[in-house]
Amino acid sequence: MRGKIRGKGEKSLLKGNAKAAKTRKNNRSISEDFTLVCRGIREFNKILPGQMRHVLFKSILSACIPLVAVFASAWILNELAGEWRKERLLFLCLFAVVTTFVLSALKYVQDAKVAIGYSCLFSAHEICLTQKNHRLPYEILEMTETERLREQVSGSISVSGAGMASLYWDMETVIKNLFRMAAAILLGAGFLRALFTVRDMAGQTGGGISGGIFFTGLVFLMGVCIFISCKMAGKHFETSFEVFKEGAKYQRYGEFYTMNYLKDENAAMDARIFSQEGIILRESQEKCYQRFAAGKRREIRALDRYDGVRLFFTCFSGILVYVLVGWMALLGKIGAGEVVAAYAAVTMFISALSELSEIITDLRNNNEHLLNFFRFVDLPEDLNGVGDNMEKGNTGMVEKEHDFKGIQFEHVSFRYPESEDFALCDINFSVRAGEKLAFVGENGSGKTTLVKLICRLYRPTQGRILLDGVDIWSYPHEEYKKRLSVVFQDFSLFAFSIAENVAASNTYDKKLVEHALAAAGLLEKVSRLPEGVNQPLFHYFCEDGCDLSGGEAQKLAIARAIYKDGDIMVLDEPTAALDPFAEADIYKHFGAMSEKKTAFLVSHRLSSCQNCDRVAVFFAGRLVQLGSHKELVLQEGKEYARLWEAQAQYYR
Amino acid sequence: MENKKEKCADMELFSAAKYLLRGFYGSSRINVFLPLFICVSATLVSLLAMYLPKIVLDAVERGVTVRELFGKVFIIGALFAAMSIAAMLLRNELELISQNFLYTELTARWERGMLRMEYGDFVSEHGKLLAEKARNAISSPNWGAVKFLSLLTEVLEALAGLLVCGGIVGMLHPAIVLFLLVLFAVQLWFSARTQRGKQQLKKERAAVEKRLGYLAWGMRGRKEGKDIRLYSFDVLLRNIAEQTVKAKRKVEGRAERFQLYNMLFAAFLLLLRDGTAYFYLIWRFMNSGMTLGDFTLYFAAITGVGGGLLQLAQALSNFFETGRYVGDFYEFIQYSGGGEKDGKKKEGNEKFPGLKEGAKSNQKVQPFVPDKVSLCFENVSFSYFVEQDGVKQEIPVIKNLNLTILAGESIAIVGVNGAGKSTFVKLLCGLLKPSEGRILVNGADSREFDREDYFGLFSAVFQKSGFLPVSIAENIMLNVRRKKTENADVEAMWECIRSAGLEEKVKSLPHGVDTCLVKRIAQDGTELSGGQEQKLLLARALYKDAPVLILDEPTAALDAVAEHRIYQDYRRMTKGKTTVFISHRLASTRFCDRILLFSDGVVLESGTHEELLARGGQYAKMFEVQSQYYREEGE
Repeated sequence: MRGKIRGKGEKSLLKGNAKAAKTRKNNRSISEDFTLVCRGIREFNKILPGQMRHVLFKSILSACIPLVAVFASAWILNELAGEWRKERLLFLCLFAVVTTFVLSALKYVQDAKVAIGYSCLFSAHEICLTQKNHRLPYEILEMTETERLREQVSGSISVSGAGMASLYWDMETVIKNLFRMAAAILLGAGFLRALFTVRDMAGQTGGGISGGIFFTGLVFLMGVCIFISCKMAGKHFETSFEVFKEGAKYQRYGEFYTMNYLKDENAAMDARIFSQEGIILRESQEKCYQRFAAGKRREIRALDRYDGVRLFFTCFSGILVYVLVGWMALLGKIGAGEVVAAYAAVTMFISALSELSEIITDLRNNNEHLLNFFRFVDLPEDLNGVGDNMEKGNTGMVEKEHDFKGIQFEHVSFRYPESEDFALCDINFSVRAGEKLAFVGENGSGKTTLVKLICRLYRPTQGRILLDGVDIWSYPHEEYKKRLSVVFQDFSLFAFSIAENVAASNTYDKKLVEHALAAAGLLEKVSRLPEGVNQPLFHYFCEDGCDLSGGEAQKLAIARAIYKDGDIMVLDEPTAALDPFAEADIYKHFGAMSEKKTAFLVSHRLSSCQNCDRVAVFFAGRLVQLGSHKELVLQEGKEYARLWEAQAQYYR
Repeated sequence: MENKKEKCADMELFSAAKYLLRGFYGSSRINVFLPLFICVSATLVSLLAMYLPKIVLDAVERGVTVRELFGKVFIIGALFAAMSIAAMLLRNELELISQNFLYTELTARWERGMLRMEYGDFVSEHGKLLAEKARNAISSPNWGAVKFLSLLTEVLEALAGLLVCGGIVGMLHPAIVLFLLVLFAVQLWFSARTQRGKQQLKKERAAVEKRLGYLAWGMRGRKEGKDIRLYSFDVLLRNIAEQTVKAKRKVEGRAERFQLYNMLFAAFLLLLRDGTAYFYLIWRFMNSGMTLGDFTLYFAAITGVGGGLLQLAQALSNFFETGRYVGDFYEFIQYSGGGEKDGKKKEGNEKFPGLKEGAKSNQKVQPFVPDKVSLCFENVSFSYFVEQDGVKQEIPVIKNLNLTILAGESIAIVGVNGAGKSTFVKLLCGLLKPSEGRILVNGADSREFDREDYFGLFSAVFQKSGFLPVSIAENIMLNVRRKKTENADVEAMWECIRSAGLEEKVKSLPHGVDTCLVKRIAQDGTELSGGQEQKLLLARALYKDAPVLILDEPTAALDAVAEHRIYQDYRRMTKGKTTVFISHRLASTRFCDRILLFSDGVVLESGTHEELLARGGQYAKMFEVQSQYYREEGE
């Protein structure tokens, strides 16, 4: 009912709406677009502070420079047509060349500054996004949607130079052309003034009444031509933008190969052994470059059309200007200087207005990119889970529920945000402080998920995890993090120095770093490096950085966990990539490393379970057995015994 | 090699340009004339634009009738409009061809280069640098090597414009042309100097760029996310990022300063030029009969020459800068062998090389692949070089290895990390070339094999392999197009999936075997777990059905039960094949005929499991370490 009434109301307002719809673009009004651009500039200032200032100066200067020459030559022409005053001519010449020189010099300085900004922009933009990535809650980071969004935002700038890069260039054009328009009006002032007074005279000398009408007609025609040619400007952006939007779909296929697969050393082995050349070239051509080519064709054809019309009308209005000023000059109404100036003014006006309308279309389309950027930087960063506490009326103070020292899992269930099945289901058990517990189970049984929950990377869908009687999500984020020393299965090392990798900071205690390396069994290797603990890893920051073998990298990751000295230690498959000696070596250190600490060990090697006090066996997301290795191995027919048998048989 | 590089540096631009133009010419003959057409129309546009005000002013001065004025202006104006539109259309056409042909084709060539270059070159620092530079040169359709033709056209246009304006000025007084040329020569000299300064910064810029690239693009994924969060790496990363951006600003600032000097000098020359032009023209106007129309025409022509010279200088400098990108690209193509090796073949299928070659490899008569392959290492050594403080250091990885692997034999390779196992495997399958010695395949030197034929002998499961964003079926069958697959192929594929223990999983997927992998790229793709990926890799390796099968830790990511099942099937899967099996799990080595224990680049022990245990050497020690826990319980 209500809908019907509204529908009626809309119908009666049809006329008004049609007009409003015309000014709307991508469902936004011009003022909404303006607001977005303003926010874009603010965000831009965060990426490259102070850079927009140079754009402003540069554009003002570049609008002024041609103006000087036009003005000067118009005055010189007038002087030559008139009195030939020598000192005035001298002054005008000097004025023209010196002013041009000074303004150009100033502009070039700004040019350099703008260019520096541009060369930093792409990386700074990407770093800004990467830092945002680091601040996101992990569960948001891991969503495919987040990754897609990130790729879209990065793609906007790196592939099509849109988003922040467009804003940077477009701002320059906007400011420049606003100034040029003002300048054109200033320049054409004489011509305009004459235009209004000359109509009657044209009637008198040009052949009676019809001459007057004819003159008015020409002025009107000129106005129409200017209008059409400005209207055509920027039309092709519509097509470009559509093509671009398509592009997001195929661009990532191309980038997958050029940025990832083809550069990867491991993939390179596969590509050669399996002769993947054919399929890779075919795939990248079919899924990306052929579609790119088709899009480009559409874009250029649109440009052909619109620019053709635009140029036609621009040239035609130029012709009309000459006709008009020539006529007026014949009537003696304006001087030779004004003839030149008027033409310059009109062409300047047309080009400024078309560029402006072009750039506004572009800016408004570009807002789609900016919106993606905003959407990404606006993703929540709430690492503390404070939001939840607020709801419960908790002020962030840690409230102890009871005095149990250690970790308790209470009906913990978990489902990944993008999945339908529970990865963990109703997990209940507790671990005393100082106890060592092994997680075993088949692939996909939920061990690694549980590790992520303990690390507070994910929040349990149901139930909770308590540390010393307090829900881990009630601790302030930093405080809880401090208590964890984790080695992930897919740990990462960074291209910084070894010490920085161990300490995760550029300020560190060298003694402690060395101690941690020694405890992980890596000190010997490190001390043989030319720069010891200060040796950078990989080759990004330093030509002679060092590469570590799989085992050494693993040890370094362990050293990092030791250095951090949290009282909860989590090792997720720490020896998968290691040889038996290295593996044994690490388990030898395991006892000492985890002394007085609560430790969780995830492993496929059941032999390692004997280093632990108890073993938790997982199957399809459930905790199916819990007990010491000795107890479990005797429970025949159960999961643990089955796993044990599968491995142990080879060693008898 | 060294020699070649030097030559390349000298001839860089010329041969690189030739390389590009040849490709361009090949794409369509008429394309080559496009820049010329653009030149002609653009020159006419500027000529008419200069004459139009002269016509008007002269008409006014002579006091012609309004009708006559209209006629003149309309004719010239119409010509002007027609030429403007023609120039625009031609430019668009050039842009279209540049982007569609150059961008697409050069990317394909780069991809081919990446796939064809020797693996040893691929992993070398030098190779990576060249690849990166070449990639950078063609990374955008709006920039770099792709712009080469547009910029070449700009140079030609500037030259043509200069000729026209120079002609007009020459009518005024030839000395002025000379004067303008002298100014230009001075400017060119100065510009060359500053360019050289900018070039010297190239290395420094590249180094900073590499760091920035790592910080900006190197860790955008999820993988680092966990460690960054738990160890609060974000602070360190932010600090380093800030420093690096600052360094980038600094080095770019230095590079821009050269450009600035250049521009300031140019502005100064402009001051000289325009000043002189004004004074001379005014003097001529006052002393000899010159109309106002002439005055504007000549002034426009002088400005035109000056502007044309500036434009030329700018166009040339852009052109040379782009030329360097083209050079970078060309250097990589030569280095990778992507352009030279069977270059003839490539000329033929310029446009969509992937397509045709892909299709071709299907139809190609399969080269003779022997059923049984024996391999023999003769005094094989391998070392790589690292440069430290300017001194090349040789690091030996494999030392004088002598080894024979019989046809159909199954070999296990064990050893501590860094003992040279992976290098051995890479040498074996031809990814790396021995520094010394040779490898014989069925008695023939491996170097005499065609590269593709040699790779055809091997199938492998490497650690840390990835997948392509195509369907599971295509990932396994690779070059066989899905539409054309025969039932026998599909049956064989399913057999391999079954053997690898992945049948159930694949059947449970929404599109079964046609489900795409790499979710973040392929629409409605799927992601497999680590264990499933390893099984799929195994399926792919089995599908290839090559005489030699290499398995590098194929069970590291598998749980005990899955591992056990694969061991059970091992015999069946590898039947009749020569197999090389690398494992840390000594349990798995029992299935092999012979175990080789690598230590420090040499084979320390060799024999069956029992023999080696009896010997009580390193292998026995290793087995002891690994099995102690199991045995305590087992017995």
